[in-house]
Amino acid sequence: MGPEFCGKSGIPWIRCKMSCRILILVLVGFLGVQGMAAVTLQQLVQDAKLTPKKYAGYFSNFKYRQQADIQAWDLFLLSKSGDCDDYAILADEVLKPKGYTTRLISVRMPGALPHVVCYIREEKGYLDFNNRTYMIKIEKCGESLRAIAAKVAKSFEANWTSAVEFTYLGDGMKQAVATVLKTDPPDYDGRSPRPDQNKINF
Amino acid sequence: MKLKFESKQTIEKPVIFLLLLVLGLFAVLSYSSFLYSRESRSTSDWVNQTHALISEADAIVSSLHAGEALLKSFLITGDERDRAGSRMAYADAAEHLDLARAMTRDDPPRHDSLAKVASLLEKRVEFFQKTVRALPAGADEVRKLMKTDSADTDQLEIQKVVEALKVHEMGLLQERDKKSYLQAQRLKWIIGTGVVLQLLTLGFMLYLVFNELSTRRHAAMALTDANQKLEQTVQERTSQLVDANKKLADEILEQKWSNQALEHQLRYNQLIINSIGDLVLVASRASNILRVNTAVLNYTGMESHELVAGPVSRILQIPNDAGAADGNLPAIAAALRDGRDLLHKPALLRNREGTQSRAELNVFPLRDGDKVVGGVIIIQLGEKEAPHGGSELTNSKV
Repeated sequence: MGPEFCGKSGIPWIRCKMSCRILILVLVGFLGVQGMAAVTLQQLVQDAKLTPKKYAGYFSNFKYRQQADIQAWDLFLLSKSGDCDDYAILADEVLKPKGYTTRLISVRMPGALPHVVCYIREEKGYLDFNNRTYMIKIEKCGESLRAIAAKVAKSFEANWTSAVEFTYLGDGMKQAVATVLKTDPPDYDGRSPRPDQNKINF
Repeated sequence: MKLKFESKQTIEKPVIFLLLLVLGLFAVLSYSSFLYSRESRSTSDWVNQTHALISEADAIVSSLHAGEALLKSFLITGDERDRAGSRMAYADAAEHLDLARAMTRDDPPRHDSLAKVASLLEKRVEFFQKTVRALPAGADEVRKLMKTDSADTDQLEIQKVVEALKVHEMGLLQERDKKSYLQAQRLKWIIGTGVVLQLLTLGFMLYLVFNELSTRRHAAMALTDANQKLEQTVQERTSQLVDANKKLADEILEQKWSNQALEHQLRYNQLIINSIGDLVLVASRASNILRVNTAVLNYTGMESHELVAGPVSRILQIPNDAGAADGNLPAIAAALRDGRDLLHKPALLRNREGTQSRAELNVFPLRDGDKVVGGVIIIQLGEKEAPHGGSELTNSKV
């Protein structure tokens, strides 16, 4: 398991050839210099020209740190460390007001922690914490839950078992919108009445 | 060519049949592998999901315990972080439960048991809401509420459902594993048998091909030997024929020379016969003239074609020849019939004008083997007689 990546291993780094790695190091250096100063939530919210790619660029020098819970945004940005759900949920939080249609997807793979990505319909792809430091920061794929899950699992060279689309309610609370199992029929979109987790408000 | 053709016909059918057999086996193996691969993928997905369900079920219980503990801690300490942690733990439990319910969508008994867990979870949440709301009323109020809490029973019930679910899923996993193992064994047998059959078939095909090649090689060698022998025989026969031809040519030449010599001899003989003064006739057994010499023509004044095939009696008479009639000369006929010589027989010779001359004839039979085929009549002239009974002596000219 690579320490710099959310999930099972730092697959993209391992898979790269030497020439590719050199290019990546140059880019990382460039983006690292660019992102030396920690970005704040206010900057992200107020940046009218914030695009998914630009968003990913701010996090190019962030370190991977597994958290049991979702961090508070300020803590995440200040510590420059976090995991996939911090990155994806923050993307959902700041890109949605900019007019992007975002969806939060949690993909479960055997023997691995659930991996969360933020799908952006306009980009026809998703933002992934494991893919912030390269030229192509958005993984292109179909918009069905199944297609997204398959693409995410492929990046881990693993199988997937289920994918859950959810909305973030704040304070670490999530609301599942749809659940798809790999063994479900291909045309099943997973949308069915869900228990209202707003009830958990003690 | 015929040999080759027959051989080709012989090997073609078995080789084509074996090739088809190999193709058939290959198709069966490919199809079996494809089916197994598909089944294996499906099994892998199913096993992963089953493990995920067990994992989610475990996570429900652990999240629930964490939530309970944190909430109790909050109730004791009043620390809001514990309250938030408890809420998140319950949210996690709800999320795991939601996923577990999705995973048991096609298994109504398990789905219903998880619905029971959901209602118990809801009950727990309601209780905590009530307890949290009672906090401002003081610790006694909370304590009173806590005494009525059925946490142990609810948690036990949830644990029982989760355990039952896990036992069931483990049973399914075991069953599936057995099925998968048997399927793998079956496939192993199918592939093993198929490979062995293919190897056997290919081996047999190779044997046929090599056998055929060997047969063809032997046939070619036999053909070469036969050709060599034939060539040798032809050479021998040609040599014999050449020798025979040479011999025949020599014989023909010798024959030609012999014929030429005979011809010369005949010509000489004819010349000799024609040059003698005596009249010489060759007659058949029937006493017809076959050949005459020049002396006869000179004496009779007739041409050869007038005399040949005519009776001897036309120019010759034998006086006092008993039985002579119709031109027959009985004495000559008897001599020829008996095959004896007739010597110094007086006779009368007549020419074209009817002049008769006295003559003496000698008859010598001609033999072809033992058989008398004719005779040579040699006439020596005496005195000439008048045409009608008178006599005169004359010599014939040759």
